[in-house]
Amino acid sequence: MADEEISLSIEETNKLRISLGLKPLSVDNEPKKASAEDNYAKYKDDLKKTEEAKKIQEKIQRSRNKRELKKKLSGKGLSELGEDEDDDALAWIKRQKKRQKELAELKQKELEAMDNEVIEEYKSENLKGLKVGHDISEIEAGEEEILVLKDAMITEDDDVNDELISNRLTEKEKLQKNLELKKKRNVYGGVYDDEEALFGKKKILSQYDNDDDENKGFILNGKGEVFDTSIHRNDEQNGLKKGGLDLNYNKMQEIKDYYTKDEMVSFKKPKKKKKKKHSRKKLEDINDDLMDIDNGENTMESSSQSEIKPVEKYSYSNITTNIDDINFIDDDELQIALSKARRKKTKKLVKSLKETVEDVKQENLKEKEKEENDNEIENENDLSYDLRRKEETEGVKFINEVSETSEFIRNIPTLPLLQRQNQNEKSSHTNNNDLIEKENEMELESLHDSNNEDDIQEQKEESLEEGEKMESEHGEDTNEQSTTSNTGIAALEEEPLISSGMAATVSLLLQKGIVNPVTKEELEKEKLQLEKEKWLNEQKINDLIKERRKQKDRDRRDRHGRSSRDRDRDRDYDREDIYRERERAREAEKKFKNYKPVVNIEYHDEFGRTLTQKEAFRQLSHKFHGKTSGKLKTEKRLKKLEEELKLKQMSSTDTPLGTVSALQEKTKAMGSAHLVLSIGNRGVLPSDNDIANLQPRTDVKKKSKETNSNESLGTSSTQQSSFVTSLNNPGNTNAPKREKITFGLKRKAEQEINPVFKKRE
Amino acid sequence: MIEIIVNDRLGKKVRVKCMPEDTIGDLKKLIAAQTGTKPEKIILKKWYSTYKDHITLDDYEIHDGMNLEMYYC
Repeated sequence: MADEEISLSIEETNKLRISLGLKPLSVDNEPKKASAEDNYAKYKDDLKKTEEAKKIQEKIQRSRNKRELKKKLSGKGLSELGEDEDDDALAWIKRQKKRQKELAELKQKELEAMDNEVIEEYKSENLKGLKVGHDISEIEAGEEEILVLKDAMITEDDDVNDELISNRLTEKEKLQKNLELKKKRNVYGGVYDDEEALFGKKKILSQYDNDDDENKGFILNGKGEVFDTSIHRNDEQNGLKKGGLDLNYNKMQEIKDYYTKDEMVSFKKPKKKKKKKHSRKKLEDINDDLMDIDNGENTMESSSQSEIKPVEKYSYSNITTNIDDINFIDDDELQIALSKARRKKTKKLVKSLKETVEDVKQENLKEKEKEENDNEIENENDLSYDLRRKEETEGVKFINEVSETSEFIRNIPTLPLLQRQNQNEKSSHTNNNDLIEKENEMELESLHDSNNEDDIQEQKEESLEEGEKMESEHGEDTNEQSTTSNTGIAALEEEPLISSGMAATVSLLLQKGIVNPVTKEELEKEKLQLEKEKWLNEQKINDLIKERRKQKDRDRRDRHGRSSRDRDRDRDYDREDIYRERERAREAEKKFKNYKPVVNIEYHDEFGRTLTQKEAFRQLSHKFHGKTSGKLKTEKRLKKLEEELKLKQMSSTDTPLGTVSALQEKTKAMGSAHLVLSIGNRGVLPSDNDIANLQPRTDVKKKSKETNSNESLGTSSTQQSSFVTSLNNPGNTNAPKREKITFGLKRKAEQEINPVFKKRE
Repeated sequence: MIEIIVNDRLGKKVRVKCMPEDTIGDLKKLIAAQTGTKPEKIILKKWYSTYKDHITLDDYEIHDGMNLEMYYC
C-alpha cells in the first residue's frame, strides 16, 4: 500500500489542468537556456571589443608621448653643437651675454607686474568698511600699530566682515582679562543683584556672557579716517537705564474709555498698591494746594480754600474714617486663640465662685446632719462619744502624731504609765463586770442566808440599777469633762491634763496613739461578751439554786420517810422539775439565738510572734511533713526577724543605743553645748582641766578621762554606749585649737537582741 | 514542470506533476483529482507549517522531488 504511488502521465495532467482552468505544463526549459547562451556570448563579445579598444588607445598614447618627448629634444645635442657652429670661445661668451640680458629683462618684467598688482590691490580705499577690533583710545596717536586680519571661520556664505586686530593689543587685553579673572569677582552674591534691580529680569548665568569684545572697535573710512561705532554703545548705555524710573512723565495724558493691555495689568493689581497710589496722589494734591496757597493772592477764593483745607489735611487722621470698618487685628488666628483663653478664664472664675457657694451650703448641711447624728449617739453613753464629737466638730482625727515632744514622752516613762492607763481604762470599761462580780459575791452570801429566789432577783435588779446609775453618772462625768476639754482645745491641740479626770487621760492617750480609739465593732463585741457573761453567771446561780433545792428535797424525804402522799408530792416535784427544765432550755435557746461567736484563729511561732496566714501555713506544713526548711533559709528568716525587732525597738529621734540622750546628759553635766572628743590630729581626748590650761596631756590622764566618761555614761544611760576618740595621725601634735567632735558607737545591740530569739522550751 | 510527492501516511502517496507558478490551491485540486478527495478537505504541511492556498509553490520554495505531508480535515 505504502509503496503505491498514484501518478499521472504528462498528457493526462495536461488534460486535467485544462479542465481545471490552468495552463498546460511546459515540458522543456530549453528556450530559456538558449537566450542565456546568446546573452553570454554577447557579453563576451562586448568584453573583447572593449579590451581591443583599450589596447589601441594605449598604443596611440604611447606614440604621442614619444612624439612629445622627441619634440622637447628637438634642439641640438652637445655632440651636435659642435657640428653646427664654430667652436669659438668668443662666440659662446657673446651668446651667454645675450642670454643673460634676456633673462634680466624677463625678471624685470615680472617684478614690475608684481609691483603693479600690489599697488593696485591695497590702497586706503580697499580698507573702507573694515572693522578694527580695538578701541580707538587704545591705539595711541603717533605710534605705529601693525594690524592683522583676525582669524575667522571660513564659511560658504561669508557674511562676516573681516576684522583687523593688532597682536600687541590683543596680548595686552588677554593679560588684563586674566588679571581680572584672578581677582575673582563674586559670582553668586545675594539673591537680588543690582543688575537685576536695574534690568528687572536676570539673565541665566549672566556672569559668563562676555559681550564686551564684540561691541568694541571702530570702522575705517575709505580715506583712512575713523568712522566710530561708539553710537552702538551709547544705545546700550541707555538700555542699562531702562529699569530705572522715568522722571519725566506725561502730565497731559488723554483719558480714554478703554484700557490698553498694559494698563489692564495695573488695573488688576491688588488693592493694597492702589491704596498707596491713592494716598500718594492725595498727598500730591495737597502739596499742589499748598503751592497754590503760597502763590495765590489773598482773595476770597483762596480764603475759602484755606477754610476747606484743614479738613482735607486731616483726612489722614481717624476723624473722618469709619473706625468700625477698620480691622486693627493683623493676626486673626492669634486673636482667636486669645479670645478663647479669655473666655475659659472667665468661665473658670464663675465656676469657682459657684463651686465655693455650693461647698459652703453643703458644709452647712453636713454640720446639721452631724448634729443630728450627735443627738442620736448621745443615747449611747460611752467614752467614745465625746471623742467622736471632737473629731467631727473640729475635723481632728486621733491619728498617731509624731512630734519630738510626743516621742520624748513615749520614750521616757513608757511602761509604768501605760500600765496605769490601761488599768484605768480597764476599770472604766469593765465597771460593769466588776459590779457583776460584786453582785455575784453578794448573791452567794445571800444565798447562804435566804432561800427565796424572789429576794435574790430583787437584789439583782437593785444591783443592776445601781450599775446603771453608776454608768449614767460616769457618762455624765465624761460628758462634763469632754465639754471642758472641748472648750480648752484651741486651734493648736492642747494636751488634756491627766489630773482633771479619767476622760482627759483617756483622750490624751488616744491623742498620743498609745491607746487606739474604740471602734463600734469593738463596742458591740464588748456588749455581747458582757451579756454572755451575765447569762453564764445567771446560769451558775440557777444551777446552784437547783442543787440546793434538790438537797432540801432529799433531806425532807429522808426525814419524813416514804408514804403514798410523799410519792404524790414527789411526782408533783418531778413534774415541776421537768417544767423548769423545759423553761431553762427555752431560755438557753433564746440566749443562743443571739449567739454570734467571734472566732479569731491566731497562730504563734516558737518566739511567741503572731504569724501571718502564709507563715502559719508554712509552719503547719512543716509539722505535717516532719521536715523544716534548710539551714540557710532558716538563718535568713531569723535575720529578718531580728531586723524587724530592731526596727520596732528603734525610736525615731535617737539611735538604737540612745547616744543622743547620752550626749544630752553629758552636756548637761559638763555645762557646755558641745562635747570635745579630741583636739586637732592628736587623736587624744583632753580632760576639762587640760582644755582650760592648754597643757600637754599624759597617757595616764587620758585613761582617767576615758574611764570618767564611761562611768558617767554608764550611769546616765540605760543603753550602753561609749565615746571613742578618732585616731588620725597620732604623731602630729600641732594645731591645738582645731577641735573635732565625733561619735563612735560600739555595737552591743546584737547581744541585747539575740536572747529574745532564743527558743522557748 | 516539477514533480512533487505528497504523502498522507495512511496509504496514499501521490506524485503530482505541476508548474512552479501554480498555487497551493491548484496543487490541491490536482491532488484531489488524483486521489478522489475534495480539495477543500486537504491540508498540506511540511513539519509544522501549513501551506496556504493563495501562495505559489515558487514562493514556498517547493522544488522538484520534494515531499509534502497531507492531512485531511
